[in-house]
Amino acid sequence: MPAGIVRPPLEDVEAIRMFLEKEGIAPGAHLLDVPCGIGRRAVGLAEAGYQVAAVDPNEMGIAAATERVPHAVVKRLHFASASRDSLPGLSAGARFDAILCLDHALGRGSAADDLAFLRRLAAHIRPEGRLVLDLLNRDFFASRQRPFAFHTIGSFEQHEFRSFDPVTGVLRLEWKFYERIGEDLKHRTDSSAELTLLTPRDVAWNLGQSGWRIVGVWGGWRREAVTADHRKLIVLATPAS
Amino acid sequence: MAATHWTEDLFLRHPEVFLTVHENAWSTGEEQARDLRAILERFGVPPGGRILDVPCGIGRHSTRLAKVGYRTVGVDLSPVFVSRATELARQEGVADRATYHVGDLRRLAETVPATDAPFDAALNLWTSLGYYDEETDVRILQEYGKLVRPGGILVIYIVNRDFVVRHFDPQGYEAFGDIVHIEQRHLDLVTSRMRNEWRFFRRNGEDLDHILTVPIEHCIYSLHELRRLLVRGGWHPTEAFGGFKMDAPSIDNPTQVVVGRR
Repeated sequence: MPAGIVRPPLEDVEAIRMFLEKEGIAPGAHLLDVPCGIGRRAVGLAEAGYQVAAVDPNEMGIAAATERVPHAVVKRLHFASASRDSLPGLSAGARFDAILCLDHALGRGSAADDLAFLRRLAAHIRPEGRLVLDLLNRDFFASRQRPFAFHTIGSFEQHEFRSFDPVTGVLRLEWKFYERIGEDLKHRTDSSAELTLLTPRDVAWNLGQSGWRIVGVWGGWRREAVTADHRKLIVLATPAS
Repeated sequence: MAATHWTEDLFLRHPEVFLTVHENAWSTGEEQARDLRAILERFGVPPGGRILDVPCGIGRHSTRLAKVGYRTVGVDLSPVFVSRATELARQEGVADRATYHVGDLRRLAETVPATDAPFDAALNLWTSLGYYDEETDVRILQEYGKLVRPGGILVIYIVNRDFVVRHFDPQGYEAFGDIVHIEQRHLDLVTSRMRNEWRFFRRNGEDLDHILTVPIEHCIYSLHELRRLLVRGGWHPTEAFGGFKMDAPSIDNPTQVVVGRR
């Protein structure tokens, strides 16, 4: 993302807090947020009173996030970086009450990568702990193949071109970033991503293969029943043993 | 000064932009005209019959229909489209059978030379109804009726409101040659009016140079509403289809075709 684009604040920190509290994970509990991106939710959850460890492979993002930690939560929030294939990259004894994998943390590499990642996470959960995944819902994208969207972010305009392959379940996203100069759009940069999207059954299978037991799947943080109209799946799992 | 209607902005003030859209759609007319011919034959329009096509754009249907023997008259608001249609008809060798005039859908009967009427069929294609209010649409259907012989037909090919509701996509992108068209859509379910913002750009390397922004407002109809509109406009609704292939109407088909008989 080019300099000058400021991500809007996330609105769902409060919804996540309520979701966790219903699982008995109240402020004061220890959370692991991985991958945490630039820590937007981690900061919010620390502000809500949780003890948060936040890890991401993007070292530059983590360095910037560390510098910006609000003073009030400096004792409750710790950022770290780790390579993608070693995430969360924590010491063997670290245990958490809940592990959050948000913004479609699975399906960015191979299926084997996902299973290995989930197995590594299972080593860091307390016996009564919870794993929370926030994934894109394959059925949403399969049932409405919208090829294009644009977003205005400050003086920038992002054009998103989407294609979904139902055979592989891969959603390919290509982004073009423009700066608005008057009404003209000056091209600044491009990027792209390929995400493998999963059905709830796929997710349950993956979790079952990696030391977890699925407890529930919902269409949103307020535990809405999943339909193809929900863009996201909220998945809750506990350690299998 | 009264605000300009968007059709004047798009088709009269900046016809070069939409001309590119028409030019890019030109090649699709070949197959659509073949399908249209099947529809005309099904409803008893004789080979070589007289066809009125309004609005005709650059004549991608009419000129093709003329090539298979019909005598066609096309009318469009834009002098630029009409002159291009005339040129293309000449290139295709049918200038004697496909003629084009500048005119307004709302005053069709004054536009079309009396000697060209009556027609065996009239065509309203590519979502060309609903640009004004519903009462105006009724008057437009009556205008077609003044020019079509009793027993003749009117074929309307138009976006399907039910599809738009079910598959609503708030944003769209299309590229026509070096023109990029970006659309932001809003559907008012109460009034059935689409309020869209169309932005057109010209590619300049990787940049997009702005040409024109037009707010587009038009009414979209469900099939039963179109049938009722036909009745109000003096037509007897006959069959309805999902598209030019005469497939069954479906909520999952973006288009619909209704045929009225005078």
